[in-house]
Amino acid sequence: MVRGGENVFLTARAYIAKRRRRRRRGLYTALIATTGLALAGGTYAVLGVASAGAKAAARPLIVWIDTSRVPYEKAYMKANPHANIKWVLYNGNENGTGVLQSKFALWNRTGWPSDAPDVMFDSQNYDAVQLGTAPYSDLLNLKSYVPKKVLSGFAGTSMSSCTTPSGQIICLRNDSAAEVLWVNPTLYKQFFGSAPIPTTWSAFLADGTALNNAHPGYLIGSVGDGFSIDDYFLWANECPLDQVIGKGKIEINPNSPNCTGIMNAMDASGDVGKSLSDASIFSVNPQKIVMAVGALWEGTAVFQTGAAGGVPNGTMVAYPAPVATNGAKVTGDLGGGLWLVSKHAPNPKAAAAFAQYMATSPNIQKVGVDAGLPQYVADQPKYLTSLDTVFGDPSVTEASWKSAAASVWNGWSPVPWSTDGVWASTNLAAVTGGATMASQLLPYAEALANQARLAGYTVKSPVSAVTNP
Amino acid sequence: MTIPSATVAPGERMSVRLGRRAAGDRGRAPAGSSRTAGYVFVSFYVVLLLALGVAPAIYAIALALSTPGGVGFAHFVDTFNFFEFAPAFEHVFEFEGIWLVSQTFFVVTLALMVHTLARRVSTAFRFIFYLPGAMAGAASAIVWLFMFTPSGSPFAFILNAFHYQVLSNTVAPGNLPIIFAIMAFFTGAGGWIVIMYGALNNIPQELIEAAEIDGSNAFQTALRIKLPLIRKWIVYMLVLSFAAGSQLFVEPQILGVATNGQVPAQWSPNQLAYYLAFQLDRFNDAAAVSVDLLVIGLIVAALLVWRGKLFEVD
Repeated sequence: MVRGGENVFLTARAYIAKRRRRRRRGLYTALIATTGLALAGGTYAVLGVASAGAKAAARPLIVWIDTSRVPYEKAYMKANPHANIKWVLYNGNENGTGVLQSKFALWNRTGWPSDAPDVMFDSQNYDAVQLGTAPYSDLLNLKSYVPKKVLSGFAGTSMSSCTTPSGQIICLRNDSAAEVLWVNPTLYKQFFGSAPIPTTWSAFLADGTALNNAHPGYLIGSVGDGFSIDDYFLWANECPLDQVIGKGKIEINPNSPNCTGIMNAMDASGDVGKSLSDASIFSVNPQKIVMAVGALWEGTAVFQTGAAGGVPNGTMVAYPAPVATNGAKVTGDLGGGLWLVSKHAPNPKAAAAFAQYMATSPNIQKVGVDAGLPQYVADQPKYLTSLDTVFGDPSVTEASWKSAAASVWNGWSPVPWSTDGVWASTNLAAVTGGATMASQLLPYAEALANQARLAGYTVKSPVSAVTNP
Repeated sequence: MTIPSATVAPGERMSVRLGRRAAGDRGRAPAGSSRTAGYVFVSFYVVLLLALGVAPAIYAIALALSTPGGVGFAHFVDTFNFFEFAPAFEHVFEFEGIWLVSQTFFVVTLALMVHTLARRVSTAFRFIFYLPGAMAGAASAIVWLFMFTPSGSPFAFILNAFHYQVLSNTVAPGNLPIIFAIMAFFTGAGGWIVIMYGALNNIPQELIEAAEIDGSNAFQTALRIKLPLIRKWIVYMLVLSFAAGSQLFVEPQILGVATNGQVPAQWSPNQLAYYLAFQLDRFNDAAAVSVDLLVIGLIVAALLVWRGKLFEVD
């Protein structure tokens, strides 16, 4: 009995120990299995989605937009309520934050996930060429997807920022951010009577000098931002500091009279730091701006049209930007969105068709003032009439907008670095600290050349300090 | 046996026995289990260290050394020749010079002062010193951005004394190292003061009393007795701060975005590496810059540990 009991006990102990071992082994097996599943999970999920997409067309078109484009989404879904689209909000790559660059760079190493976007809205002009050429080369060449007739329907040379040096079409322009001369006619009449609105830079700067003396505190613009000098003054005067002349080749010539002319004129006028404010154009009192060269969208954004502290609706009138110092009727550009299509989209045809629809359909492009003037010419009239209550003198404003969108100088090329950012980090503090504009051309050109070399470009320049770091 | 065996199922009896046995185990083996516990605790760290510290470092070294032609130093040479390379390291060393000197001086001085105060007052002071440290790097960058804007800053009178009228005056390239040093000081100093205070509390009371009996005043006690005894902690602070400072990233990155690019995207070496990898898709070059940082960090840490006799037991 006792012996048997011992026996039973012993066997039971052995049994328990065995069970424990087994349980532990079971636990290990379970652990290994779970880890394995987790590791395999990625692949499994990808396969699952892909095959489901092939069978039932269940994979939605994935579209990334910024918050300003939400009215587009609403308009699209209203027109196509059953569309199988997954809309994802992101920051639109604003201010060169490089969201797309970092995601693409990672995905190019790890493989593109199934939820990568097919179509993206991008608020940065220079992004397309960077993402569409080596080492990225992640954008679909739209040349064979979008009809030629549509491609030629975009204003002026605007599609040049969507064209790679080798001729691929890697984006579609959404809205224009060309520059005009924004004038507050009430203030202008008050200070200059019936004098004509300036059409040249010298007349524009002379008005600023007059304000410095007679009405200090009133402004003709600002030099207090990274973008103000290079976009408003250098680009618009055909200054060749950012001219891509071939694949991976850029020409930077700070000695061109197109650059020195306007800079010397600014210095001579004495306006910098006075009627051309040292503060950012977005932080000055909009009711003190008599006129300012600025992008189309600045008509509402800078002057706070209709808002408390801003100018009343129906005040601001757009005139053509001053004629370049060399006589060319060109202007600069600040922003304007792009539609990009991923080369990795499982259904490139559908993705390209969608991007084309968004960029060109009047259903989309007429939506909202804030979305900007459609770059697609056929959509412009309907959009422009929606601004009649916002701006004054509609016929003048509409004509100026249209001509501006078609006259952006295409010699300021899209490049993988931000020229605005380079001015901000290299020259802005010097200018707001009192340095002359003319003295800033060489350091700016050198800094641009360094950025170009960092990005793998060869720099051509008559100035040796620019060619050699 | 008083209990009839028939009434006790084998299982029950077993559980009683096992329970007793388990209780015995628990009581018997503190030495063994504490060693096991030690291994368990360390193993968590070792796993994390291997996965998140060693493995990425090896991956970076492999990436940096792999060139189209095989193994070589081409990426190191390339990145060294970038115009942005030398200035990035200059910026960071300038920043570290200002920051480490001021942090060491103020942290040690304030900790010694707080330690001589009455306990209740010193608690309040330690709390006040620690407060700014509660703000992480990103948040403090935003707060400091506001402080540096002449039109909105409560310290506008100081900025105006330097003739700074707009933000772009304050955030001039020459001012950036000192701006980031100020940010880093207020983020980190409070925590270090608390740690130094803890180190000072470890000094045996008898030692300090003996010094006082020998006629040492508070100033002499602080300088001659307390300071040498917390030297290792100061070295420890320098090692960690140098490593953290050489990897400066968040503050310049956020200030750059907030000022639309006034801080260049390649201001610090870590930013340069990030820019190379995630803006230009050049991971090998980015890895080379990261390895440079690693090597510098290791050399400086080794020097400080060796010269500061950090691991020597008294």
